[in-house]
Amino acid sequence: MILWKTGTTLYYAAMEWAVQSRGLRKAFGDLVAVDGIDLAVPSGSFYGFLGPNGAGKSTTIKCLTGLLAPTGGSFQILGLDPQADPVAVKQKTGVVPEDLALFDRLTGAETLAFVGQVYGLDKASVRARSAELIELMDLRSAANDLVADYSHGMRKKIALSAALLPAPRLLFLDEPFEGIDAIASRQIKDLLLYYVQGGGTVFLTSHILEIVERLCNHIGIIHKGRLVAQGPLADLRAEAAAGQSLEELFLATVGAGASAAPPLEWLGR
Amino acid sequence: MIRALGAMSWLRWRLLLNTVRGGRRRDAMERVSRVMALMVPVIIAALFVGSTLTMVILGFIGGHVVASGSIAPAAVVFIARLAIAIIFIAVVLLAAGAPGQTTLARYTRLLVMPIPRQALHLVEVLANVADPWQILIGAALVAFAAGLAAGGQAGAAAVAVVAALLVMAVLATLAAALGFLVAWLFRSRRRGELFTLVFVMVLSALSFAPVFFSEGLEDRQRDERRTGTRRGFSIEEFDRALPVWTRVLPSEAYGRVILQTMTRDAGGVTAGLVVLAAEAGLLFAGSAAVHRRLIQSLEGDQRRRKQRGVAVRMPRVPFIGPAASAVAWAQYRTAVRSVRGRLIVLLPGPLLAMMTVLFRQIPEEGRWAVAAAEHGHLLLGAGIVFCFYSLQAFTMNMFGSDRSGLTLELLVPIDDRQLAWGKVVGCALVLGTAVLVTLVACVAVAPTGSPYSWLAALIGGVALYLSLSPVAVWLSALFPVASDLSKTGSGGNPHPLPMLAGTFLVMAAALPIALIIVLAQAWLGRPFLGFLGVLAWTGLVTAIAIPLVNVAANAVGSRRENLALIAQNT
Repeated sequence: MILWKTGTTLYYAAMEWAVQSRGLRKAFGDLVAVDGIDLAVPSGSFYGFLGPNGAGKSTTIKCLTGLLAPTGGSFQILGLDPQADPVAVKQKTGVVPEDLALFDRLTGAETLAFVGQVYGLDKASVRARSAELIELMDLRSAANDLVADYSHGMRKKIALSAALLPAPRLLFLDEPFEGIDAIASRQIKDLLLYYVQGGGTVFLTSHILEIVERLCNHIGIIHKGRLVAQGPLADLRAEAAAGQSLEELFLATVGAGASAAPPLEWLGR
Repeated sequence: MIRALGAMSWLRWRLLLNTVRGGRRRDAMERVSRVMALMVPVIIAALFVGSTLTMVILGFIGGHVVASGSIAPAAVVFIARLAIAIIFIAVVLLAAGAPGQTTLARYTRLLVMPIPRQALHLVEVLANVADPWQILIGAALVAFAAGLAAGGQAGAAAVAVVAALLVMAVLATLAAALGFLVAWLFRSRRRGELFTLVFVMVLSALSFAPVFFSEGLEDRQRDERRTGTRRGFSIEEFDRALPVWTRVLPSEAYGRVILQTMTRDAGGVTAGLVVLAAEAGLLFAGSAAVHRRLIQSLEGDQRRRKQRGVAVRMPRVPFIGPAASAVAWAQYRTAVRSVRGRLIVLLPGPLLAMMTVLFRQIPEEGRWAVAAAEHGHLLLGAGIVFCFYSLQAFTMNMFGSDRSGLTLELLVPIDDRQLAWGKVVGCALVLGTAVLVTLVACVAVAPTGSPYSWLAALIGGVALYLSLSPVAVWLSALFPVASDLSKTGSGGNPHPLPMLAGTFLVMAAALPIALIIVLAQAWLGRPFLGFLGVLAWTGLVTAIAIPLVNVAANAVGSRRENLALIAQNT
């Protein structure tokens, strides 16, 4: 693997990419949410996409998954052009978006059946995979309840199950661990690691840096719509000061490391 | 308290303004769509100002003529009683509507603020005084008192002001109590939806109450014809006919207070004012109790789940691909599980049947009902048209009504045509269920007419649906609204423009079908020819509609981003 650095972005050559973008840009009027980023997500990697609130993480995922149309640049998903053939790309990907994307008035089991049918799975596979996923996510007792009656954590679990059901080659997960209890979180982490070991790619955004540090082998850091760092976690660490944790690296990268901002005086009184 | 009231007023005002402004993530088309949607409230606001001014003028004139003695006080007060009664009914109906997410979230937000619960309750009750209905009736009653004062009856004017304030207090506390009660009911989704369903169905049945009055009037007219005498309307007679319990109704108590003021019956005036004050006090105490219950149950209403097996049935719809079939079933299931969808299925047919049965009892008023009883297929045709109108919440907002589910549909491998066809077929399944219920209801009350005509009416429904589908897909893609189908009011409605277009299109598209059926029956006397004619028409419409739906599906592709933003409510 050849590694080089241009500006603040690390590039790799001679590698198979799950996601690759050049100058990806998304603007809403005069607000530039994503400002020409060059993503490089290797196939089979566990890619953590980090950034402060409002940095452009969710907008990037929405562009990559076809929910938003980029206003500039180009990108490929699993070697395919999503703008030319979106259905072919979606056939190979699974997504857990920010709003979870669920029908409130379908049951959990029906949601999985819907996804299975749309992806063209046969009934037996849908039934078997649904049962396994529901069991794994501890949703058996609620599988026939409407999603509208689910707690946030349960909604997240069923959304993740729906994304996994067609066994996609690439998973986009927007904050998958937010609102999930510790037991389920552990199960999902193990499941995702198993998935990556089997050759799948995970593109994950999370605010919980400990999770990213434990799971991801590649990271990208976005700040104010620009990709300020990208590469294998180990390489980024090697470039950073010795002994730096991911949190310190992240804070240093987005310029909030040693914040000398004066405290709110009135708060201390 | 004043600070909290000020904050609440500011909150309501900002929420209104921000709804108009919207977020930055909107394209030009969406902004146009929002502006057009806002035209309706602007027109309503303009009408409201005009109505309030009219009420003030009428109130003042009414007070003045009563004070000057140029008209009998009972006549003017009778109008005031009616106006108050109508406003009370309107307030009850509005307060019983499903609360929006903003309303429910507001309770949670305010609960964590440093405002004592009692103060919060008082602020919420007082906020009801700003309700347009309150302003309308309050302005009129105060203007009535001003008219009395201008006519030289200062003492009566003072009593009228006190009575007006008490009526407004009763109205505000009643609206608050009902609002809190409904908000509490809606803390549980199932309880709230059941309440809405029952409420709308009972209300729809009650809307036939005038028929019974009309029946009474018919009897009276028959008596008059028989005896050759004509009896005019008499307020005294009307009052005598009212049951005793109606005297405690706010409109009646107010009327008595004013009349007894004019006759200087101090005891009667005091009693009337005490009744109004007691009602306001009781309703205030009641609303406080319900408010306390609501606040205590804000986050606590979770249903216990039972351990059950996993059962999934997802049958394939023939003639369309698996993806479109999945979309169609999702559409059908989500529709019939929503309050709006259940009403669409359950209301049109049974209501039409009930109307037919009731109006058949009074042939002078319901000639159409007699005709419909003789030609059951015409009743079915009318029922199908009703189904179309009530289905507009889905057909004219095929994508937006899915809300978060639409995001899922945009993320999975479905192309624009499959998505459009899935929606068209899904709505057709909902319509088919509603038509089936209507068919059963029509057969039950009017099993008359040629079977060919019945078949023609049913097939005509297919033609009608197909002719509307391309426009429905196109308008739904252009003007999506993240509607809430648990709402029976405007919150569950599509964008006004598609709804308006749909209203006219249904009429226009139904016309040729109705003409074919009626001409074949009435002119040629051959219902079979009507059936063949409608069949041929349906074939023609199908041949045109299928490619047009495919063309309209392109609008889905070009509006995907906007649809996604609507689905995510951004």
